[in-house]
Amino acid sequence: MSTLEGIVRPFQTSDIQPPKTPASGNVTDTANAPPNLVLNPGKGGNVKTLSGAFNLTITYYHVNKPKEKPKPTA
Amino acid sequence: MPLPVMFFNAWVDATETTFGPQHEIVDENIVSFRLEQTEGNSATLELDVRNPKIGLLAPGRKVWMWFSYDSGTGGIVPLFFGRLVGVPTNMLAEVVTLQFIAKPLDFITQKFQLAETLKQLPYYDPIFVDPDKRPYFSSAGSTGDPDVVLEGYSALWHVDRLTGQVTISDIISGEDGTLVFSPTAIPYDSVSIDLGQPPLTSVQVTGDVSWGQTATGTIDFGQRSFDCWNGGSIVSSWPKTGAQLSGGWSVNTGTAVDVYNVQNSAARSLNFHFENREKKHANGDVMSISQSWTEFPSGGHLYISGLEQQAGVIPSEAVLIYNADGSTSNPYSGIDNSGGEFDAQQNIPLHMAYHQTMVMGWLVNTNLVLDYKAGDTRKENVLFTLTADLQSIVTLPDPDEALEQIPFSGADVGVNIDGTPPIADSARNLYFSTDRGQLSLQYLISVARSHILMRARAVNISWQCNFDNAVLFTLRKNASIADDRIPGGVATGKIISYFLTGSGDDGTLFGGCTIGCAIGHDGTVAAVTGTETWVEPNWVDPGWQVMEGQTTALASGDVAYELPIPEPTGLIYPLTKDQVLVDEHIDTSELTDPVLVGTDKARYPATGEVRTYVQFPITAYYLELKAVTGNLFATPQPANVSVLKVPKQIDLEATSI
Repeated sequence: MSTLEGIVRPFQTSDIQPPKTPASGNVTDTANAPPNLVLNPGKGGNVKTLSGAFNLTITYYHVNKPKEKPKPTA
Repeated sequence: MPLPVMFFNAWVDATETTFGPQHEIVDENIVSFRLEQTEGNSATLELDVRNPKIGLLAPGRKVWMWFSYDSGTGGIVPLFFGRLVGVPTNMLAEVVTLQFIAKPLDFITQKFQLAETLKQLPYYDPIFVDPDKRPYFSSAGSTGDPDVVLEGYSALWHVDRLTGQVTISDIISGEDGTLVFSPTAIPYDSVSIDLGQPPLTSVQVTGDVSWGQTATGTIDFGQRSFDCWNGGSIVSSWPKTGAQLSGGWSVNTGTAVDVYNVQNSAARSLNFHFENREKKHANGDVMSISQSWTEFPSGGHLYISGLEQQAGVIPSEAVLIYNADGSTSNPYSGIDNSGGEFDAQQNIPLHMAYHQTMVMGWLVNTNLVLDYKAGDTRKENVLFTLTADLQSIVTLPDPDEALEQIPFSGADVGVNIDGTPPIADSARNLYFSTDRGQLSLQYLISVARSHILMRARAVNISWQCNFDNAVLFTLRKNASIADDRIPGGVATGKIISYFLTGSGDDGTLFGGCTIGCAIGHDGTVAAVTGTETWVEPNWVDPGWQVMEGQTTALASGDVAYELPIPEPTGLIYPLTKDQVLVDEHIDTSELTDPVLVGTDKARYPATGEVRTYVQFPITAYYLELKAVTGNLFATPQPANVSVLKVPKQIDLEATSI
């Protein structure tokens, strides 16, 4: 009759067999960690340059005086 | 030969569930009968009757039967109410056997209804039940498997042989009392003892749960000032407010302020012209001055090149102010002369010209606040071994029989299960140490406990008794037997099967039962308060204190556990900067590409153009953070579970009686 009307608990009819090895913690720490976030502002930068020039010209008044001829000697 | 006493049997409809005088009739001539019930099954009745020579299952015939007997002083006592299972196999014989089963038509419905009431933590935890098997009762159609609710109960279904009511009954202690049998009530030779399967001494349990760890928050990385040459690149590449970064990060506030507005600054050209309009002049008078020059904003480093000059008097205008700090320098120094006087050649106008290259200096003030939106996967694995305190029945138990491992693969505790996510707050990094998590652990212990208790009934004792005692048997009762042949002289156990039989052939009428005796040592386990290790006693409200060695007892009182706080793994929310910061520094080791700061062609007519290049240090901010998405964090959570105290229903270690 038990085959007709068996009402037993699930684990009693399961096919789970006892393991051959004792249980142990089967989890590890982080795995397949995603890549870190890296911020690096300024990296590879360059300078800013400005160009300029200086020019200065000053003119002066100058009158050339002709050299006097030497006087003949006696 | 008729049966020793009057038995009645009445064919009835399934709806006639209440026994009454109308059922005290004899529809079939009974030759013998056997009523029995074994644990986990409905009661059955076999009736040997004179062949009625009719179709018992013919349409319209009644197939249910009330079976009762005349107990004498006790009146008519119903013994069984059940339905015919099938037609007789020996239908040609004069005596045919009819089989009945006391299983109500609404058996499944009753199981679902009862299962619904049994879905109580910690004895039932849907986390560890396959979603397809979680039982849900509905008058419109129940789903799932009601049997799974019994995993955490040390009990089995029971179907009453008269009422058809479905209940559960504990496998150690019957709910309806104990039947006591003295030696005089038991035929001496009917007693037998069987040692069944060796008991299960320990159960190792692993239970995994997982959840998606989600959390949001903000981390301030502070304000900084960069006094540098490459401020433009810092400003342009500084993280912008609202920008989405990788790894679950985004920019809450990102500013980089060009304090001197160097980005938009430009050189300014200026001119000056003077002309002497006097009517009379003397040699040496300045007749005209024509000057143009460049003014540069803010600070930096000014380079001079391409100097052209004619001898003349150095005018005061030749001294230029160009340094960031306001100091003055002679632009001619270090070029072609030592900065001394030019040759005074009065008839040569003064002319000077040169190029200027200004390399701008920057001051950049920054602010950086990042948001995180975590999305990691968490796993937690609880591990414990439950060992039973049992008497030995074998000297060398087979390890495979004495040890059982039960791996549980739990559901995602971060999603709704029956309307609520078990972990409540998905930002948590631990589950089993929460109040709900402890109930899950208690469930796993309860399952292991029920496995051990089922196997702890390692001794079966059977005996026979008179019929009047036997009609009292049910599978919701215990029975005890006193017999000096039994170790300890007495044994008690749960009735795991019984029978009642009568035969007109030999006039016998009796019954019997088998009990399963647990072979523990008795005892209870009390919870231990533990020692306060966080702050002084009574400084904080209950629940905040860290108690070392604290144990929690299950309601059954036969097992307790301690749940040590595991070493934290992964990220713990709310995040702190220290958790995620891999590296943060200012790097000035790199140099720019060579910058052309001067071209001197006029000064070196013989050698051609000479170009001057200078490299400047690059200032860069380096920030490296751990990603807060895509991680898998796993935490082992060992639990220390006490020895399971098992009732001592038979004393196999008794020395003598």
